[in-house]
Amino acid sequence: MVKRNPYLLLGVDYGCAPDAARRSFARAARRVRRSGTDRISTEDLTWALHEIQGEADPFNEVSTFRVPADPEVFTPSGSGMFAPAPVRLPRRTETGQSDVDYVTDGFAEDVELLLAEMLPHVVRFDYGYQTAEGTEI
Amino acid sequence: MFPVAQALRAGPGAMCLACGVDLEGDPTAPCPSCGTPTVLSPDSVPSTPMLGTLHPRRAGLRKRPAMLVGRGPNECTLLLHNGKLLTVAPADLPPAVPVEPGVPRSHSPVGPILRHADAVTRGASLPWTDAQLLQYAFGALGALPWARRPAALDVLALGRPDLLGGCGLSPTETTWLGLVHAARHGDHTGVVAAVAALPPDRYRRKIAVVTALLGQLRLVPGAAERLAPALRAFEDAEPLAAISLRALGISECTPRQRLDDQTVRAGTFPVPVEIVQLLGGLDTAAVAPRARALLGTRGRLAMLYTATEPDPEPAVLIDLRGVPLAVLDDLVDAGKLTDLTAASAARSAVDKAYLTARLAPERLSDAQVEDVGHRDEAIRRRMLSGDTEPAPEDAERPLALHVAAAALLRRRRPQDLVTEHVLPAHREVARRLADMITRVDAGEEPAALLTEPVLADRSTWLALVGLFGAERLRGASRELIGEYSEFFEWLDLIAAREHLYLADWQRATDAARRCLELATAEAVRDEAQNLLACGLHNLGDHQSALSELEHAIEGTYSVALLANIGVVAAHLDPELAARHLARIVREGPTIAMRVNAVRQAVATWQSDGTKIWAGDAGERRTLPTVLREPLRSIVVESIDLEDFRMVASALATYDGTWFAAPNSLRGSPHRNTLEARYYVAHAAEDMFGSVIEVLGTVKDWDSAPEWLVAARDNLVHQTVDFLLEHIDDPDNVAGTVAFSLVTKVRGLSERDQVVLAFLAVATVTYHLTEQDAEISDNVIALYRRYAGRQTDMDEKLRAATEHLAELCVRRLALNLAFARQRELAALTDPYNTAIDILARVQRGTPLWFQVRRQVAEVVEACQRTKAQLRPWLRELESADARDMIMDFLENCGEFELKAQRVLGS
Repeated sequence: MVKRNPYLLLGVDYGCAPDAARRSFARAARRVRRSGTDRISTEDLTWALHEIQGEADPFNEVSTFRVPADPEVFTPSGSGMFAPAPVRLPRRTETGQSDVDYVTDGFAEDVELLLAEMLPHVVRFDYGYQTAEGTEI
Repeated sequence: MFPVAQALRAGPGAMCLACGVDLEGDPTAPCPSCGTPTVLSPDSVPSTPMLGTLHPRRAGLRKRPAMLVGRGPNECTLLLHNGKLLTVAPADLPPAVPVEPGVPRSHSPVGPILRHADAVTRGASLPWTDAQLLQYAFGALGALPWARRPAALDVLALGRPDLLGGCGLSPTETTWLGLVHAARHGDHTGVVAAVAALPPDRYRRKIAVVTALLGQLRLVPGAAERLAPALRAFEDAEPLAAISLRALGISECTPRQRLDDQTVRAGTFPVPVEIVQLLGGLDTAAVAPRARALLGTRGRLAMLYTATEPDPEPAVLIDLRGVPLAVLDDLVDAGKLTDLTAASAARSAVDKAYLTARLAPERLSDAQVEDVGHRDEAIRRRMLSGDTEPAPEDAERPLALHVAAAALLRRRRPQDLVTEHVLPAHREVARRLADMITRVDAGEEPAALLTEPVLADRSTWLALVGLFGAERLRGASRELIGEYSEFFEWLDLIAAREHLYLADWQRATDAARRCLELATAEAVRDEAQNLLACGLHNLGDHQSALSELEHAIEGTYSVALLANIGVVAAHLDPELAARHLARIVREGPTIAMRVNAVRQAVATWQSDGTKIWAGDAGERRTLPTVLREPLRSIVVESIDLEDFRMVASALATYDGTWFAAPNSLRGSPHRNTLEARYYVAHAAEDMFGSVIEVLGTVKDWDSAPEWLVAARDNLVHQTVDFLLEHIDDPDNVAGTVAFSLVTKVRGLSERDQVVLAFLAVATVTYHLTEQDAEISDNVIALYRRYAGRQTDMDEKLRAATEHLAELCVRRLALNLAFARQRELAALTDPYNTAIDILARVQRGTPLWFQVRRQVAEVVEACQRTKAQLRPWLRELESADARDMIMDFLENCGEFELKAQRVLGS
């Protein structure tokens, strides 16, 4: 005998919060009434709500069939008319001279460090004595 | 290498090294200011032989070193090993020691002496001190003024600028030489000191040296203050002096000026082309990657900032901590910064929220949305959560109007729609949808009205189902289904779920199968198979349901699918169910879920009950391997005590050998609990004895845990039931257990105690009787203790236990009677032998006394037998037993009488 599934009866995702289950009760009753089915009664729905509200942590259970297994599949991804894409906040700052100076100064500092590294290796420090041949030592 | 003097605006013109003034004209002419020649040594210098050569000469028995320290036309002066001088004719000069290869050529005649002096300072073994040698070297320079500069070069070549003072040059020339030496050897403190010591307005070349070493000199404490006078003296004449003043912070400098100064420096000195490229313009396109790679974080930031082409890649590699927010905003606006992690690293919470709103507003928390005041994001979120009523202050925002327009369509009110309220990008979809609703309301079928623009906007899908229902949207044209198969497979998925909600399992499986015919995306197929499995499961086809789930879980791990496998598997045969549930025990994401799977697996697997007395240990079932290993692993994890008890119970019952092993529970936090002790005892080879030992440790059963009380009572009741069924079996194991239970375990009910005691006595006695063994006093004592309580028992209990008490009496009396019979039978042969001997032996002899004792033993045994058995006769209800014992006692009496007579004769 397959165990009754309170989530299926209420037409909610497996593991939904008790509050959400409570809110879905009327919708489930409407659905059952419209379908004209005699497989589900109001008592079943009441039982289902009671079960869900009493369940400690459904996501640790392995005794109730989980529908859906992947809820995301049922919600089409992508933006559109009913789900507008997020809009980036317009900027609230203004670029001032100090901001430009920050960038320029950083660059100058980097170049200064590079020169400090390189110059001692590319220049020659002469004593300045002239030789008879007209060159310097 | 680039002569540093060439960096000066004045060019590399000569400079008087003695006084520091610039020289114009012939660079070899003497200084017009101080008259000192600029040349190293004049052409007119006579050829002077080198001093300092070593000439070993015999002194006594061995040769001693001597050094040439003076030489005239006709005489040579040798410094002997003992410090004395010896004058010899050049012809008498002993042969010189050849100079070792590799020794650099000296500039001055005294160069070799200086080299020897330096060697002695460094530890070389010569018979003179360095001071002695320096005295002769510098003394010789007094007679050779032209050799002073070459000697200074020799001193510097030795790395001994400290000896420059002995060369006899002017103080400023000595300082200048020290400056150059320090610059050459990276002694930046020495450079600062030398520059500061020179006359500020002289020695122009010092400006070039300072500019070349600016980066290093800045780090010397007090450098700016000490260099300032010299730099100021040349500020107007030499651009490098002005640059140095700014670089050292002596003059004010803007970042732009600082950058220009670096450009001047890079143009003055021969720097690598990459640096020239970097300074040529900050456009990344013009700068080779190799050049960019030379830059640090801020340099690369500048490159990114000024780049004309947006390339967000570099931003990820730059440390943006501390960069002004406005600069980041510029980068964001230019499309050069898109990575939120890079942008918000080490920022305040406020800045992080702002930057998130700028780059990825969907990642803001709701609180951040409010804090940062991103109204459009707040409106968007309310819309996504189903709330279409904007806050009053947002009502006129374009997005709020759009939300309201979309809500009208959802509520099936296309006639109220103002298309202009819809955001421009979505107006076409809104028009089409409004038209569709109107026409459906007029009686057309929605499936035939589906259009490409509407289906291309995936956000309409849920709205379509909400407006028209999943079933009515099926049946679109083949072309549309082909082009938008994703929508139609999704539609079948929705339909399948709807049917499951209505417990219409068959139609749910039909819809799921339709979805599977179309779907190619793995996620959709997995879900369709999950829904199909749910339907099949509820239709009772568990095997097919399991097969669908196993297909679905292939490739992608899903906790839900895994759990569903467990749900369905529980309806299969226990072994198969255990195999599937064991997978959840192994792979479940939480301990709680794994424990639940264990509970289900164990319950399924042991559904045929756990009768303790169903068989001996050899017949116990063992856990299947696939379940055993997960249980062994989970029992030592940090699970609840109640869960531990459940798992321990299963392992103790079905995997006892492992569970009872000393180290099996070593890793469990519950290893020292009552639960652990009880179930280890339960798993022990001597299960009953060990369990009763544990139960016996409980002193107060009123406060004992319920599970233990239940375990105790279960053991008691199953033992009683078993004994009642096997009361006539000669095996005494159960009887011994009952005996231990009633004597060692406290807290048993009166009824349980009485029944256990009588069953223990009856069973153990019967067993011993069968073994021709006599019962111990303990057994009789136990019977007496509970028989004595019978008078106080309520009527019902007494009636229930009456027949057990009678059985005990019968078995006890018979056991004792048989024991006495065996005893008297054993005395009969010795008794007869004694009678024979008494008839022949003389009275009073030792043998006579010995055999009389034998006869006396018989008398005592008979009297003991009568005394022991007669009380039981009063209690015995069985006539057969009583007759048998009475016959025995009669025989016993006769036997005693005969023996008495023998003793009396």
